[in-house]
Amino acid sequence: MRVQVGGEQYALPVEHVHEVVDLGEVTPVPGAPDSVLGLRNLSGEIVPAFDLARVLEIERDGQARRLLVTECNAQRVAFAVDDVINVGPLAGTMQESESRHLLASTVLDGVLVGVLDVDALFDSIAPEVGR
Amino acid sequence: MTAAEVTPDLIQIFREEAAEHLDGIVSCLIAAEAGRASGETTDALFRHAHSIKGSAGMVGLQEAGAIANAIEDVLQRARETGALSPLLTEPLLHATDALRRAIAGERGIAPAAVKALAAETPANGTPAERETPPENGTLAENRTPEHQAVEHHEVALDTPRDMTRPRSIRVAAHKVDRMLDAVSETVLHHRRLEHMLDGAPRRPDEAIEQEVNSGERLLGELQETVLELRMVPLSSITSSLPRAVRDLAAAEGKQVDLVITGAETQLDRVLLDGMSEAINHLLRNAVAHGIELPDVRERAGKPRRGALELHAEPRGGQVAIEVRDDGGGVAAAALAEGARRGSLVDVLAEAGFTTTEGVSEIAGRGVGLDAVKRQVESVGGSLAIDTEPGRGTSTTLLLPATLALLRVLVVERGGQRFGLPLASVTEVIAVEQVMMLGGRPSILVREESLPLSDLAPIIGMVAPDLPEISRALVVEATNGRLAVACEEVIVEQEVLVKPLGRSLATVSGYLGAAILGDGAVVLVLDPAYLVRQAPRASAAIRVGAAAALRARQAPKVLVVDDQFTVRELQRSILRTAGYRVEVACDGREALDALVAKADFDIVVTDLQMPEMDGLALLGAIRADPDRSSLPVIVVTSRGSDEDRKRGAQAGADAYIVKDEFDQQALLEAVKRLVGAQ
Repeated sequence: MRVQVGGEQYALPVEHVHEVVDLGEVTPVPGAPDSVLGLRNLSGEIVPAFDLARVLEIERDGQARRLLVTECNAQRVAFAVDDVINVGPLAGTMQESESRHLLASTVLDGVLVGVLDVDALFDSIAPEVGR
Repeated sequence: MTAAEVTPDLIQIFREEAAEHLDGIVSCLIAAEAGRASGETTDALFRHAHSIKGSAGMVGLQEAGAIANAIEDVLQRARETGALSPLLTEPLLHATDALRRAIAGERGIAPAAVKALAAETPANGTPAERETPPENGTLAENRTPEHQAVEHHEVALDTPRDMTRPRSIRVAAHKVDRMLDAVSETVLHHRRLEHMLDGAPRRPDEAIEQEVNSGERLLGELQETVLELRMVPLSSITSSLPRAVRDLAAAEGKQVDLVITGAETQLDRVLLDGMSEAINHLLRNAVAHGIELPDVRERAGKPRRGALELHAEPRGGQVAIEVRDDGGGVAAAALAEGARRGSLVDVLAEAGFTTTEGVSEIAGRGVGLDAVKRQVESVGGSLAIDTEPGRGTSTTLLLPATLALLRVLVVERGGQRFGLPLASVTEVIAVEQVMMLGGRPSILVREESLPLSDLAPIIGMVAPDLPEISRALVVEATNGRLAVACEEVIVEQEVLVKPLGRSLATVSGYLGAAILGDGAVVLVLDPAYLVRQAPRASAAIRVGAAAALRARQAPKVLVVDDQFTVRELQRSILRTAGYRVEVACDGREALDALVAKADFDIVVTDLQMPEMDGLALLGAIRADPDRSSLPVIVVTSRGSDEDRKRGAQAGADAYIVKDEFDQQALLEAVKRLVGAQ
């Protein structure tokens, strides 16, 4: 799945994404780190939503509009992105990446796409969960 | 507990628990037979038999109790002689088999089993040579290989069906949580439906209403049932404790017997998971710091073995978990400090106080207890310590039985709603006067001064200043009280509280989150955190809520008179009544003050003054669009009707004659025009 975050594009394996929902009403959590957007009601389950741009430490120019709902150790966690571009096979030459959140990077339709390391994402939002 | 209260559930729990003890007995006996027995093996055996004996009596299985008692007797003698003879293994194993059957509910086997055990284990703790089989007891028959096989068959196929395969299934905890979520969502869906029916232009017919009502009842039952699914007995986390305590005691050179009672007490799983570590801490503390070395105990006239008890019981809607030791108690210095500060828990929770002179490597009591306290408070529970020097210490955790359903008061701050556990809100009060004390705003609640804090800075929220502080919530937690100001108190509601989850585990201040009837997610505030955090956030409160405080401060009166005595008299009267007062010597000075500070609520002025008299001042005030409606009271020695008429024409709101002056008249006039203090 290819997503737009800030001015950049990222991809992650589609099997990690349970569903994609609109940002909707998110309750902020005062006192939480900046990367925490808040809590979202997903059919009765309270799911923490993180701003993917903040987690990746990149500039966000627009408002996040979509939430990618993923699962981490039996707990659902959502990541906010600007938009979902498409779902499809990720072709192209993979290049190693030095970013701790990326497995690799590739060029797709003339745009540089970072391939997200989902485990590393979970690691950075909740270090004790990943281990 | 009387037999009348014994439910099938309880018996089931007892059987599951007893099965573990039976297994424990068997493995100890096997170890003894193999020559691997130690004093601890006998103790462990003794504890298993003792636990079964105690609980069997409670659930009304007297036969099982009798057999366990007989086993205990044999073990007691073995304990006294200091060794568990391998020759005891077989008779004890046989008795254990009988015990297993008695626990399963078989009747009429105890007398024979007890007799057989007694016959095979004489009083000196060494079994007699078994030349002749004992009387026709069940056990006697077992000794022939043939019957032994039969017995095993029964054990393997018959009895265990009831005991080791309880009528229960294991389900992954998160599936139960998901189920609870789905049920809760259905409840909310139902509420919305009801809401829509209520708001429908045409009243729905009776049949529909009945269906909706019965749906609500059914959903309520469903929700309760699912919540019960999350309840697990304390025993689910205690299995490793006896071993841990034993190892720890050995490392400390101590002898400690841990007895766990009330292990069938049920708690919400989520809660229990969190408490496991706390209970561990308390037990470690008791062994490391509470219970003395055997020699010390002996000198103090106590048994060499320390007694440590972990006890749980339902208490009202809550569950009490108590760790009690018969050790040396808390150090006198800590006790004295606790008495001085009114809370022994707080003193002990601070690092630096331990019950022993030296701090052992195992656990500084302070650090651990602080963590326990936080853990307990984070789920809305409390911690109490009771100690008697030389006699021991008892630490009690009082926990809600279920985390899930909580009555909360929904409040609003900065456009966001929050839940505050209703149990922690002692009252909602109208704020009349805010006083500053040591730079911190405080209010009086029934003669007692309480610090007043804005909710926003406490929880690290960025919010606009409160427009005014008119109402405050008095919040009480185990660690103190405070008054919290917020914008609105919306509604009282029962909500299902869910933990924030591991990814937000580092965020403090909340018991969890809940979904309100309209589908919105609210955070549920942790009262203990508010009390703890408020003083630290006070600087932010002062800056942030300064405007709000001003708005609710006492009305400000400008007193204008050229005579010092009159000015000071009026100033003193008004001050005493709670108003803020500033003075001016004449109309000119008064006008300057009014322009310089816009926050005056009323002017009390003399008529005859140099520079600018009262009537001129009044005229100037009324002519100024910013101040034209400012109330003005005219005070003068002139009592003529003509003067009154001129004052009224100039726009005076009240007229007080000095000759008739009394403070009541002045106060009443001010009160009528700006409100009382």
